Amino acid sequence: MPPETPRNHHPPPSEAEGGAAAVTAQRRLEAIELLELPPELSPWTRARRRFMSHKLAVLGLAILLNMVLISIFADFVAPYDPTRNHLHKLLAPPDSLNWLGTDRSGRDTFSRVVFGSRVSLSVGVVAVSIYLAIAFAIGATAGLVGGRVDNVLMRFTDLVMTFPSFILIVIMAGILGPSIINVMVIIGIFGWPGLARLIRGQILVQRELDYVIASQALGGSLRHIIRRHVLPNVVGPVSVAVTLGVAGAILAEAGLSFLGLGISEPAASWGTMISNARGIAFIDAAPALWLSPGLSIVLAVLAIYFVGDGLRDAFDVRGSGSGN
Amino acid sequence: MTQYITRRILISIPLLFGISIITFIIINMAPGDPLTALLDPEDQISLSVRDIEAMRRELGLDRPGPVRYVIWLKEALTGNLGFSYQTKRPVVEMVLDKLPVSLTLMGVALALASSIGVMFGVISALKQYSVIDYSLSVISFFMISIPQFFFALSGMLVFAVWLGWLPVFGMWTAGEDPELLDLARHAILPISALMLQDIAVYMRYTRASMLDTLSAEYVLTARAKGLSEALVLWKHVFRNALVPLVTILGLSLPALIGGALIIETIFSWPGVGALAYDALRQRDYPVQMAVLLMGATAVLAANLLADVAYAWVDPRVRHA
Repeated sequence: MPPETPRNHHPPPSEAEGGAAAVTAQRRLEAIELLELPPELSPWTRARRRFMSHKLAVLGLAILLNMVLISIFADFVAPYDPTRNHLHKLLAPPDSLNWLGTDRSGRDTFSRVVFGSRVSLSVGVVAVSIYLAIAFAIGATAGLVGGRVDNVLMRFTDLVMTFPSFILIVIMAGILGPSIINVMVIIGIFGWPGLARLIRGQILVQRELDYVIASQALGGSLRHIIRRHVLPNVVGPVSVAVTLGVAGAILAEAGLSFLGLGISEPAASWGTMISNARGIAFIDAAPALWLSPGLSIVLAVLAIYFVGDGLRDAFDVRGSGSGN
Repeated sequence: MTQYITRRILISIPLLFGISIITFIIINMAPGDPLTALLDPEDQISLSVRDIEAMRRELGLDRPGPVRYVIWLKEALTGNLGFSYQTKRPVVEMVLDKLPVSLTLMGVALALASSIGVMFGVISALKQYSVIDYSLSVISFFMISIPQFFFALSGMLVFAVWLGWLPVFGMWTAGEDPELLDLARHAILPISALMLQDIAVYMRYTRASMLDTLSAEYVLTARAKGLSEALVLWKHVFRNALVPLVTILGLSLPALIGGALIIETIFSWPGVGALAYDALRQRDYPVQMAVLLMGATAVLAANLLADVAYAWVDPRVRHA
């Protein structure tokens, strides 16, 4: 790179008029040269290539896609109805018919693990969609409007962040009662503060960047600037945070269900399955009963974190854009 | 410095009010009457239904929400957060009774997690892009992906049931005199489960902070002066890299409190977490609210302390 790049070259103001004209002509030439360079890769292509070169991210994406397919087609994948009681076969060890054995009520563990993926993934996606909407409304308003509004919204965000979120979620779940909709809504309602801060921060950074100021100087409307310049650049960090958020929501649901406050019987949730298998008699009596849902949670969350890490690389997000 | 601390405390006061408002709103969503719960149960027994009605009116229970909030807040400020539905004892007393157990558990977990995490984070940063760095990074992904309760149950199965090296649960061996060694043996599994995620968090933050500092210009200067590598790493890099970690100490408290709820329950440790779990099962709302209110206040205090500590080690912060 030459010591003086065209962008940093500022002609001293004391220069003669003719000199300034020459510099302008020179710049125009440089601009033309720049335009004739081979077309650069679009940001999306570049991001996709970076993502695909992240081995763990690709592995995570493959695992995740499989899980999504399994949860969509659970009815075809699972050999049995997950809620049907095979009363002649209670707490059976794994065999050729019940690959992971049966539980206390004679229900097929493998089928329940398969259907459990549906609960976990849908809670993760819906809860995070809810809090993304809240975070976007609060973060974007604070970042774009600024001033008093920003101050009030951010103090409110600080306030919600002060509560130990799991305790808050657990208490709300206890009050509202166990159901999948309640779990989604409760995790959604309390999950937004980190993401709202992130969105606000990104917008504040973008507002000060040269190209946004340039667009303003050229008379671009606020609407145009937001849609054309600010939003596309906020997408990277937000997508990383949202991905990590889905993993967090899945863990929160598992914890809630484990405590008996999340998804209630007979519906199959991984957390509920582990909770039912608890108690020392079961811990070593039928390990498949709780190891299989437990390992499923680990696999799902791990896959999502890998994808999140890949996205972080792909969008070149610096630092930790964690949503929590 | 005094000015900075005063300013930070003043900012915390409205937050404290906010915490009490949100807690009050949640209490009001729960079945039952939070203000009736404030009355000493023994007084309630001796009163007739009509007396209670009269007292309700006297207490302002028929008044609108904001008025009831003020009444409730006045009681809360004098230390009355109500009486447990189950034990009929003042809930503040119940929580304070259990606090030492939880503080010990969380304190040891936090101290160990931060030391182990910082140590591996430093190794990771110094050996950036090596096999060690890569392995540590993958391990840290596993650490944040395993639900604490699943790790706890797995540890129980392997080390307590199969190998028999550690006690299955409890804090002390029943029927024996309390001994520190006995407590330590009982604490290994719960503390491991509790600190698992924090180790990963500290490791990743330390690594990032170390890498940032390693590329700082004053490190280049130190090297240019011909200082030994050990001196540069210890005095210039490590000490400065640690500074931003102070803030995570405050940030990791909410997760730690949530973790204590699950871990104390699984291992039957008689702490605030187990108390909260029992209160959840028995729908003992006054106890739940006390835990929530005190937990949030603790987080607020921890953040305040972290901010002050940050300003103390990094003068740039307090003049900002």
